[in-house]
Amino acid sequence: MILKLNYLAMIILMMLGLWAMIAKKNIIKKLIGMAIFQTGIILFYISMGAKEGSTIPILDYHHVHDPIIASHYANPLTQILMLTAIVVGVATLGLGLTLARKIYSQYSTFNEDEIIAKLKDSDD
Amino acid sequence: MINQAPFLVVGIPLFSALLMGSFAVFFPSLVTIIGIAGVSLGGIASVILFQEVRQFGDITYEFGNWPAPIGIEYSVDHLNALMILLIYVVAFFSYIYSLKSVPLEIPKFKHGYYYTLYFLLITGLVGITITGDAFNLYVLFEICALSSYALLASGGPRATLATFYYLLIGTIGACFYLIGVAYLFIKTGTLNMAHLFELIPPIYFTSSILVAFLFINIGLFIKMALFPLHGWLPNVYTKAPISTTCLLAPLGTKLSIYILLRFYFDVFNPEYVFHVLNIQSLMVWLATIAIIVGSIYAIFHTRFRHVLAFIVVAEIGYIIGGIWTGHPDSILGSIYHICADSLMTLSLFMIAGTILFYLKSETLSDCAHMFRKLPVTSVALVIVFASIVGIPPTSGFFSKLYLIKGAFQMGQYQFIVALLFSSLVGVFIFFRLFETYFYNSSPSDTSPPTIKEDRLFTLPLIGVSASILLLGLTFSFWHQFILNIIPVGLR
Repeated sequence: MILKLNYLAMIILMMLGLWAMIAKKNIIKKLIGMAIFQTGIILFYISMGAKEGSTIPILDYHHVHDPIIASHYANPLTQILMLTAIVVGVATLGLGLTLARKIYSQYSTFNEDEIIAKLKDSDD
Repeated sequence: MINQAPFLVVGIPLFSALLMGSFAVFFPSLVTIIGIAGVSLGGIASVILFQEVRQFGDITYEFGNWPAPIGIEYSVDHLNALMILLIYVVAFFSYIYSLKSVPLEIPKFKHGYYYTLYFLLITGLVGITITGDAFNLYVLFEICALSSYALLASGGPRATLATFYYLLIGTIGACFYLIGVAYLFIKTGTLNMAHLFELIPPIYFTSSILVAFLFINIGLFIKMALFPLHGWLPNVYTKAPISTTCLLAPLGTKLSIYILLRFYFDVFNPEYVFHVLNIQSLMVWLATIAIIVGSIYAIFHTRFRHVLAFIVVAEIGYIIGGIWTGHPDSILGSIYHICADSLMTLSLFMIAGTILFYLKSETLSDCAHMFRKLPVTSVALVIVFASIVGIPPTSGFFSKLYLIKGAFQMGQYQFIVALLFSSLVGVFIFFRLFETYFYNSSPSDTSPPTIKEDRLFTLPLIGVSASILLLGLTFSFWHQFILNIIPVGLR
């Protein structure tokens, strides 16, 4: 049996991230979980474009006349896609941190339980 | 000019957003003018596009002249054209409404930025409908989501926390979609939807396609708030500013349904979805439960916007159930209901806003005073509830008729029961408002009988109410148009 370590790593990262988002009480830790979750997916895409013994997908000048063998190069498409996904991830994380900062300035705590307790107090 | 229309519907709101962002600091008075120009020009482009598609059929637009599997293409068929027109109709009315509601809700120095995000949201929504590339769709999905998070969070302290949870949940949904697309890419090596459509049939029975299907579905179910995954929706829609919910509540969830339809019909084959998978009755049951649970929650809430949020949850059940019955009649009903329900939700949230601004209260017993104080709003409320319940000339009647027709022929009787039950709930909620006013109002109330509503509130409200009626009165036209959307295999 061939153990596909890259996919295993991706699954572990995603589950870690998902668990942190759901179970952690600290909202900053939730955001860290979100970042780990997204990183898992990015790793997934990158690893599916990688090939054994391949190099970066840039043609050398002396390759102009040689036939191009696709298996010598990593798939550039997945890398480009993930460049976009990283930008999206950064934007999401930035927005999340801004919201977290706003929440902190309103409730002066990062703890979810304390925030909900304060919300209930203000309702009464 | 006309053959650039597929680009213009996305480009105009994008460039208006950029202009607004750059004028926001030094010429804030220009921002609203750019907005009116942007939303009207985009609307004109969408009407042109709609006419083109209706007369000549599908259009493809290749960016930078790179042909499809390598480059990114925008493809416009009947379904896109309909959704883009719908987005611009909703955006136009809610933008006019926001001209009055934004100054009441958002601090003055933030208006320019608020409208910048507003137009980026429109860009994202239109982009989702028009793109023909599965990964491009994810990026536009996130543009849409990011601008909506910011717009929702601008509603004060309560909204911030609700939006924070929505951000986490929305990211999970979008990431699940991305994983699904990754599985499709591994198996086929392409991201172009039309190309995927050709490549998937020989590999129906591989587990990768099944996993891709499940991930994409669950991701979109989270985004559209289908019943067990609806938790984020009521919290967000009840605390966000009215100006945002007027744009987002009608379109945000419906666009996820659009993506689902696009994937069922044009990426996975309808044959795969409805015959190979064999989960049809399970999904109809899920939709049935969604309708019933949404309706029951709507009965027991006493604040107007909470009631509306659960009506939205129930309506999602209508559309998903209609699609999954797999009969052409009910699919037609579902697609028609996407349009009808967007207009209904828009009207309801505008009414909620007007009530909130004038009566300063949201509880149903206080809302009941509007029958005396807010005449135009009350008429709009009667029309929209007639449509929710399904009284003949309104659009809600026809969508329900076709949903029931299809479900009856496929023997999904539980779905019919749920539809009728939710109609009854609509009647119940309306009469609860009505009764509170006519039987419990104290005669000693000395406040002035009517308040003159602002024109910027009443005009869009009248427009939307007229659209609801018009959509119903011109049903035969839409029937003809939507028949082109239903894939040949299902007709």
